[in-house]
This record gives sequence, structure tokens and C-alpha cells, in this order.
Amino acid sequence: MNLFGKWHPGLMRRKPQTASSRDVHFEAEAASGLDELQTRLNQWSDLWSQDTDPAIRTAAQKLVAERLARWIERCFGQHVESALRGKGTPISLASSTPIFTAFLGRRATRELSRRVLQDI
Amino acid sequence: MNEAELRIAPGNCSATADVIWRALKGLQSLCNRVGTEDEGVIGLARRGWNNIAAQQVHRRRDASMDAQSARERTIEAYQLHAGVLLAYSHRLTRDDALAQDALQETFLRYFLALAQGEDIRNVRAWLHRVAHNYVCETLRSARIRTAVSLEDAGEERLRDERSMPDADRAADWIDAARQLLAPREWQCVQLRAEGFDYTEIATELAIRPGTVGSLLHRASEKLRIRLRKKEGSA
Repeated sequence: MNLFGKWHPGLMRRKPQTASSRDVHFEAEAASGLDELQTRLNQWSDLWSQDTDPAIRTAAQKLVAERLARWIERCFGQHVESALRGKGTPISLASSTPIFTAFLGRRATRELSRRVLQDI
Repeated sequence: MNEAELRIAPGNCSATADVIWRALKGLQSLCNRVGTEDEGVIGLARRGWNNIAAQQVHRRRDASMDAQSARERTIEAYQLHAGVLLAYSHRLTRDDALAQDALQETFLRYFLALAQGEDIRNVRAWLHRVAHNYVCETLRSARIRTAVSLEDAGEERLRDERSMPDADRAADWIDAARQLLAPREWQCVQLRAEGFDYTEIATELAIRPGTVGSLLHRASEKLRIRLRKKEGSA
């Protein structure tokens, strides 16, 4: 790709483009962040569908459930929150996503999930 | 009106619930007209939600994936695109820490989108758009007064190639071009220099591919005229 060379011959690249030292630097720096991302993703994917018994939940799982309940209450009201809870199945991000998506839209739901899982 | 109805009545609830309230009233009147047994607004709401949830879960089960698959796909995407995306974020922020944050945040959002069943066709364009939005939001919220405009990929490359005799001239020329072009035209040129094709640029800027062609053509014409004038005066 030689966009600028199209406008002025002086800007034409003389050599075929190869990966510059800067690109290699960014590749290496990005690779160093993979471990952090993997740790985060492992936690988040475990918390996504909380199908464990409420009695043996971890602190993180309880926190997510609390935040989620607060969001449901804030968006739909207290009565709906208790009605959904009354179905017997525990509220999780996986089970509440369709409802949030239906009423709030995809982007808002993504933002909501991010806030629920924030700092975990 | 029973107690349940009172709790979500307009005035007692948020704007979102107010919209839902009005929708449910409409639904109730429709059910009454077609002869459905009146089970109250909350009963209808519960049924409606269950139906919506069931439909969406059913529809998404085929198209989407569980959290584990989303995690694996996110890691695959990271290995493919992280280097380019970090370079892009760095060009936007000029800050190593913020660029790293943008990278992590972009891929976490990618994971959430996949887990929610979003169908992302062009992963590269999607990641670039989310990274760009994240950087803009962060800079805006931190009230950092630095220019949020994109730094040109071409500029970076040319700065790397300091041995080139035209490097200084090219940097001046790029500054002049930035002032000459409209923001949207300049953004198209930048993304084109980044290696994006017309469709990807269109996706990122939320415009039609034809418009991308027009913007690039207009930019090209402006630059050509400017260059001719400059050479004529020299």
C-alpha cells in the first residue's frame, strides 16, 4: 500500500514494506499482556453462568449476583426482580442477557455486563 | 388496580419501566380484545418476558456460543490482532499505559459481545472501532485536552524511516494534508493507510462503502490540486 506515493513520486517507497522494528516492539508488548487477559477471561467465563448452588457460591459469584439483581431492579423495578428470582433458577448473566437485550439493546447490555463484572 | 400494578405505575418508576408499562398496557388491551383471560399486567409481563427470553435463548443457542468458546475465540483474536491494535491505540493516545488499557478493554468487550451472541463478521474492523471509542471516551472523561484525532500510520512509518532524505518533507506534507482535508476525509485516508479496505473503513465509520470511495476521491483531488499549486509556486 503506497497511498502517498500516488500523489507525489518523492514519497514513493523504494523498498517493499517489511515489518519495522516498531511493529516488532508492539507485537512483543501485546504478547506480554496475554496472560493478564487470560486470567481475566477465565474468571469472567466462570462467572458468566452461575449454575452452582447459591449456598456454595464464592464471594465473587455473590457479588455478581448482587450487582445483577440491583441492575434488574433499577431497569425493571423491584417486583420484576422478585418475579424473575421466583422462577427457581438463579439469576446469572447468561440467563438475564436475553431480557436485557430485548429491552435495552445490545450495546447497553454489553456495557451493563461489563459493569457487573468490573474489578473482578 | 392491584398492588402489583401500582408498583410499576408511571411516576413510581424509572423512564425505562415507564416505556415497558405503556407497552404492557397495549398488550393487555390487545389480549382483552382477542378474548384472552385477563390475568393482570404483571402476569402478562411475566409471560411476555419468559417468551422473549425463551425465543432469544433458542435463537442465540444456534448462532452464539457459551462463555468457554467465547473465551477461546477471544484469545485467538488476541493472538492475531493484538500487535496491530496496540500500535493503533498507541498512535491514538501516545501513552503506553493507556494503549495497553485500551487493548485489554477492547478484548474484554469482544469476549462479552461473543458471549452475548453478537454476530461479528469483520473482527478487525470491530476491534479497531471499539478501541477507538474506548480511547475517545477515556480521554474525554479524563478531560485531557490533547488532540484526539488519529495520528497517521504513514506518518509513523515515515518517522521510523529517518534515513530517508524525504522524511522531514513528508512529515510537513502530512501536516499540511491534515489541515487541508475535512475530518471525515482525513479519517478515511488514515484508515486506508492503515491497510483497511473500503468495506472495513465503511464498517468502522458507519457509512456506505460508496461514500468511502467518494471521500477518498475528494481527498485525493484536494491533495493533488494543492501539490500542483505548491510545485507551481516553487
